[in-house]
Amino acid sequence: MEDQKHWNQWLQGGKHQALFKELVQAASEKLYWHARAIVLRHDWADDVLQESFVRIWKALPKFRAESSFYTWMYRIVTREALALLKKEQRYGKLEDGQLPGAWNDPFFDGDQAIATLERAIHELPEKQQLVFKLRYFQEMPYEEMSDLLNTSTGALKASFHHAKEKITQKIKKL
Amino acid sequence: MESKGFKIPEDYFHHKNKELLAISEEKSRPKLRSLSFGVIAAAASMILALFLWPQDQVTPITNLPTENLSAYLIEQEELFTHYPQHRLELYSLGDSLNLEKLDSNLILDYLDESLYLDTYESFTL
Repeated sequence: MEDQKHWNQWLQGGKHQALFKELVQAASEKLYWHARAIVLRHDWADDVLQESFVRIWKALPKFRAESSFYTWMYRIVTREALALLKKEQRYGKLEDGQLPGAWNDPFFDGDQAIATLERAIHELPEKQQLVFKLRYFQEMPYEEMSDLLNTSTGALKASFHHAKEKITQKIKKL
Repeated sequence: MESKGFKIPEDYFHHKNKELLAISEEKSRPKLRSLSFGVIAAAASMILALFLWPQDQVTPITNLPTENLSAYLIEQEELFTHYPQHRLELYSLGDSLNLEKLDSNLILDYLDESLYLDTYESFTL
């Protein structure tokens, strides 16, 4: 809260560069993990973070602080991450038709179960994928997710429940 | 997420933050700098062109080709329209009157008269 107060003052005072520096220092790590939870690969999360901060810098003078700085930045990262996934789905498929994912990311050394889980997630509708990833990988509280995605907590819980059911069935088939 | 096997390169955030901070430094450079460079370059080119552009040179009349002179004179035919009428009459009469047989006094009188007319015209013009 204290941060927000200072940041608002800097925003109103037009100290955009100093404010941007503060935002990078304070939020880059959190935003990276948010991006990684959605895209799963390190190189993609890195791209998303870069693009997001370019957008943050450009939009900073126009930001009216109606939501918190964090919510605003998380929304930007979410949009960028989803845009990257869409682009990769369209153009980034591998020779075998599969989408690159954590399973072939050199910065992933999780067990086979996670890799299998990721493949099952890919087959979900976009909204369910997002809710499941934010909840499962990032352990984001529903209230926070509700604020971020402009969706009621009830709808998010239902979405997560459906996603979990579908994934369980998929994994059983694999 | 790290507990689930998602890793990052060593010192990733240290390097990444430097890269991210560079966004604001790069994007906040005044556009005026590039603009003024462009303006200066354009101005310099114009000044250079002004000095190097071929100036109007005066060519002595003796160096002009005959065809150019003829063409110029034809274009300036308006001059002939202002040629004194009495001289034109004299020239036109010349052939038919056979001037060689004319009395020299008559010729002198005529020339005196013409001289008077020329002088008169020069005062009245």
